[in-house]
Amino acid sequence: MVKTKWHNIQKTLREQDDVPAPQQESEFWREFRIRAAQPVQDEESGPALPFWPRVQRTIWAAAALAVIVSVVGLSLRNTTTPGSDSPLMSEVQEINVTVPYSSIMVMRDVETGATMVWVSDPQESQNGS
Amino acid sequence: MEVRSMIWRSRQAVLSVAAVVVVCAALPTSAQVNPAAVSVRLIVADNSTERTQAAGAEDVLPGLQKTYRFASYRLLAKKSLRITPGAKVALPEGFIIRVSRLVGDAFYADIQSRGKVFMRPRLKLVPGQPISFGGFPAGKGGSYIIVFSVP
Repeated sequence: MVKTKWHNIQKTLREQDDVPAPQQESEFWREFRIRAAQPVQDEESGPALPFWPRVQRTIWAAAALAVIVSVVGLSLRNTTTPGSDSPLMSEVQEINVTVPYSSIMVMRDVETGATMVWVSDPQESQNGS
Repeated sequence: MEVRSMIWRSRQAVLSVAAVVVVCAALPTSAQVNPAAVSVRLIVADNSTERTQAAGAEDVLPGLQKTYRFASYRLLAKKSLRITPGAKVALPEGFIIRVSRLVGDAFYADIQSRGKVFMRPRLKLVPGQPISFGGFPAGKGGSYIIVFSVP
């Protein structure tokens, strides 16, 4: 380990003491402004989007929103209600028969999609019997 | 930059297709659930030797013939019934069909015979799926069948 005497260190420092004089304030700010005006090299600085692509982007965003709303709306509208097999099926939701009868049958033909209701032995016929 | 442009164009294409699909899907649905008018047909079914007359009832005859055991089916009348409260049509043999009330996309149809309401079903009709009501005596073991369908 090399030992150096303190007064030698001081002497060496004095000899090398050629630190430049502090910069003038006006000069500092002039340089600062020049540097601040330069583009930042680290960031990707592309030109700003022109007007029409921005409008297009807005339109497409609105279209996407409309699609989402439509899909959600349709799915809610097509939600089956209790007692129904499908939202797109003909339905006999209720039957009131005002004359005495023995039985009533509701049949559905899966192949044709037809629904058939048959009322057996209604007491009041066309002939009034 | 080129990749971003391609992604943007792809996104536009996907959104266009999705929008068309949604619009196409919505159109038939709205037409199906709320018809402005329905077709009402009166068919007589019996075991007579008269030939079945399929004209005007081709869409419902297969289902009827498969379900019921009548030998002959004949279309007596076919009328259009507006789906508005109070609208009615008169059919042969004294039948009158009257729309008494609307409930959402369904309606109450009063089936009248000789001035008296015989039956009051609540119906929801979609195209291609007729609803028929049978059991109205037609003499000699026959029956009248009233068919509702969307034209």
